[in-house]
Amino acid sequence: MEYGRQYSETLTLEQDFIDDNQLIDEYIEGVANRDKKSFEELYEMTKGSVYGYALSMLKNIEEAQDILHDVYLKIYENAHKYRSNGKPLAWIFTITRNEILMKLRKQKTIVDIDELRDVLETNKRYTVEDKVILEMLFKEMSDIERNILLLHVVTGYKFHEIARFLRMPTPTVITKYNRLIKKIRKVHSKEHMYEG
Amino acid sequence: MKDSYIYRTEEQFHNDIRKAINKSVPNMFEQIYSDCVKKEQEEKHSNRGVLFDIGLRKKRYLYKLVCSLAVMAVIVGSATIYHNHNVRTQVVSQVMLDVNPSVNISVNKDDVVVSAQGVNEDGKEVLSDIKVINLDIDKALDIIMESMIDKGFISQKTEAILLTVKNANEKYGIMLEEKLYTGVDDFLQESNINIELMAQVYEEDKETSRFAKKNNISEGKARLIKKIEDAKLTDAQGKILASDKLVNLNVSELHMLLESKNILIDDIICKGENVSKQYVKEDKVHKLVCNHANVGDDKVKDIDIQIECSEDKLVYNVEFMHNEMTYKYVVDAKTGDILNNSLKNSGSNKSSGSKNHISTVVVADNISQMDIEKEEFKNVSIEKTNKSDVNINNTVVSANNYQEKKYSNENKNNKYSVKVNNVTKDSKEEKKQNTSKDDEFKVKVGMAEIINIKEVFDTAEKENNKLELESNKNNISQKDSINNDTKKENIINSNSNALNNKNEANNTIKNNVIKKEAFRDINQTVNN
Repeated sequence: MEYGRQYSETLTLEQDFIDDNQLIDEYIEGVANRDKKSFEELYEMTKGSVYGYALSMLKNIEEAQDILHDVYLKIYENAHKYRSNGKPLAWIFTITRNEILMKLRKQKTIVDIDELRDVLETNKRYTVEDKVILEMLFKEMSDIERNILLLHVVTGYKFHEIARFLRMPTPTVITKYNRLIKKIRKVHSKEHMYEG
Repeated sequence: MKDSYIYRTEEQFHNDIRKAINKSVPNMFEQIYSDCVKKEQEEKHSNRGVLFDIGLRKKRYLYKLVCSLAVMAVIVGSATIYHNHNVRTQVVSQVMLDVNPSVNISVNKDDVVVSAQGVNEDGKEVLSDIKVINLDIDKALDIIMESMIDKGFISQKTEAILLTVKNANEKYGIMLEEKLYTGVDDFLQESNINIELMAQVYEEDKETSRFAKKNNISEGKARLIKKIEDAKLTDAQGKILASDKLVNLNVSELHMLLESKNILIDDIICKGENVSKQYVKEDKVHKLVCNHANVGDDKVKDIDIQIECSEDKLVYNVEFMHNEMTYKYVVDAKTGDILNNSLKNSGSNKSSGSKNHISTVVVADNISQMDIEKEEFKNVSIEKTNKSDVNINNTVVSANNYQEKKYSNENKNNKYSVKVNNVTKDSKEEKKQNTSKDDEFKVKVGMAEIINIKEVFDTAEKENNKLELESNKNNISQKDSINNDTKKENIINSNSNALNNKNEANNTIKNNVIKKEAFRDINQTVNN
């Protein structure tokens, strides 16, 4: 069963992220004690999730970078207030969401995909595959699909956690995810030659 | 050639996305860290006093400068305060909380509470001894819900909470709703309260506002009611549910109505138990009605249970068929009380109901007896219907170890039917073990009497008439008509040994069971 398959995949992810949660808890404690190394480790471990979600929501690179900066500033300021409940990512994402909310008040414009393309072209870190993936994320997916995918793949949220975060029924999240994978598989399963 | 991505496996796809996203994240750690440290130090310094020591001339100059600046500061400050006050009090969003108390909270662009009102009396009571003005909306909601818990408006028995956000900017409204939804959900989880949490966001709607004001309900509840009205749901009598009838239902009941009709409202999110704890669940309704009808609930496969709104409350409308009879029930969705019920002959004789419907079940040990029964039935039917001949319809149902044959005549006014079950010896024991009240009659084999079908029908008819008279006299409600059933099942057990027995039949009707001791020359008996 497809759902069963998804669930078993999620289980694998779960195990990795459960261990990570404990580690993140320790890093936050380190930040509260003003340990730079802990703060750096925390940043490296969670930056993808924070930036990915911010970029997905705001669809503006500059603003997503602002969010990244402001979120970790807030984490540094409030680490001493954090009380571990085994879900440190939820705490970090609450901060992220609030920062995005404040950004949205200013009614920023939707990202110009050409801007993204320009950035991708000039940045030599990206492989061709990276560029195509990023374009796919913003060109071929709806906001909801992209959010679900990033929360699942980059942040490691389970489907019911995504459902809670996005306020959707869990079966809807699973259905949307499965349909997205099907769509991607269908569109991108043909053999194409890479350029360059 | 065009760049393209080749999808290999899902795991590979996941890895590629992670890689791409992580690569796209700028490396800002050092900048972030340095800003964090700088800000921390600035905050520390701002708490320290600074002493200045300068020359006299400079002091006079400085004195004049400071005075000028002070005057300017007062002017600018006043203007700023005035402006800030306007901005601070400018309402940008409305947040509504409906449990049974309804509360309406106005927030400014910083999500700070500007004002809060109770929409109904309970809502006013909730706010009477708490202060939420100038608080962040999420903190304000926590305090309001705590007040609701303290005053008993939210408890384990609470049905549902509806959270509504009204904002002219849809995207911002959605973000605010997400934030508050998580906050309310966290609060309920921490309080160990497991209830239905619904949320919706919308822009200004004059019709909804008017309806809310007219009925003294929150706009959030008004909007939910309008959604139901738009869906053109019908009540138990088949009339379209008007919004004014729905006003007295609480938010959980409103949501149950939508769920029962499979009406999806895209922009109303619901999380939690779908059917309220206090309401009777459908499987229990199934058992209730079958028990009342004296029918095994496992025998009723196709039962239609629909939740409806009737006279300001939710009821279940239940309909099922059994033994050619249509059972209809109206059950109070909250208490499980049977409010109304009816029984109709679901065959061709619907207009005259089941008055003349007598069915007889004959349990035979072998199939040959079935044919005899058919002949017997035919003869009785001819007599009863005063016709020279009748067409006998029969259907055969084969099941595990028994066959059921149904006979019915085509006469619409007088319908008789006979069911013949052929119970094999093997199935007897099995049925004895798994017997329900109905089955009990069918497995009483081994005691055979000569069957006089005519007598059986006559007796049954008399019984029916007697009971109907009593029913009319005492003005018994239709609820009891099932107990004084016009459908009588007379179960006749036969034994193959009785074929050789010419003894007289000894028919008794006791709890709808007829025992047959000997069975032979049925035709002769009938003719006599």
